Amino acid sequence: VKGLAGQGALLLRRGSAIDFFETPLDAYDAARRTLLDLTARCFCEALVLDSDVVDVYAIKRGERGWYLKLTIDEEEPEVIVISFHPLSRPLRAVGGVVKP
Amino acid sequence: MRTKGINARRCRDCGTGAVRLFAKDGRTAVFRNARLAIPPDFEVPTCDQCGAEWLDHSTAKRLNEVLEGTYRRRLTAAAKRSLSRIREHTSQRALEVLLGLSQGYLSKLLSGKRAPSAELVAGLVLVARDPKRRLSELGRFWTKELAEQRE
Repeated sequence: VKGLAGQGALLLRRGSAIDFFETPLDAYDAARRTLLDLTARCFCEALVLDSDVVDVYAIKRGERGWYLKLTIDEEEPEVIVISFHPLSRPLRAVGGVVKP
Repeated sequence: MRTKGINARRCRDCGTGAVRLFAKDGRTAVFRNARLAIPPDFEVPTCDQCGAEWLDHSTAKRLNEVLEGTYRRRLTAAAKRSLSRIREHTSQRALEVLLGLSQGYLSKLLSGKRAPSAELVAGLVLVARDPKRRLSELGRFWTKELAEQRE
């Protein structure tokens, strides 16, 4: 994930994150920086959707907890950020509970 | 409304649709402190099944550039409209003094030599809603209320 994010191989779902930042590029850059800072302690769970396995993370950004859901497109290859927004409820990650 | 088949990839939101470049009317985006319309001919990677929209770096950068231009034009237009109303009640220089602007600033703004800040536009819009009353309030604030404030 970090390697792909570092190369800028990242696709961000518009709507999940974009309204929480001043500009679309700010949202994209924030998602990229968040991916670069990810650690195993932020990991919450892996979900099996229809045809994808997606990973859910809870991250502390400043004072707020954030929800991040991503998968890897092996064909491109690329990190696909499906959700990236402030937490609406506490979420348990490997490193402990992250609060909104 | 138009689509392009290039870069089609499977949508990871619905899992079934194909993501293609797609332009349509009615899209909006937050830009700085405003919500702006995205130009109807601006193409965003979009799922043809669920409508999920995706941003890659190139799209985010282009969208920023487009919205920046729109934002500046809208601010300038709003400032000019408000100034037009306010100047029926006071001189341009008197308004500059009340708003703490340097002499000639508003002329530069009106001639397009300077772009107004969002803060200035917010002030102008509020004054223009009720110029006579707001100008009087501002005058009172600077000449009386500020001096009487406790630190």
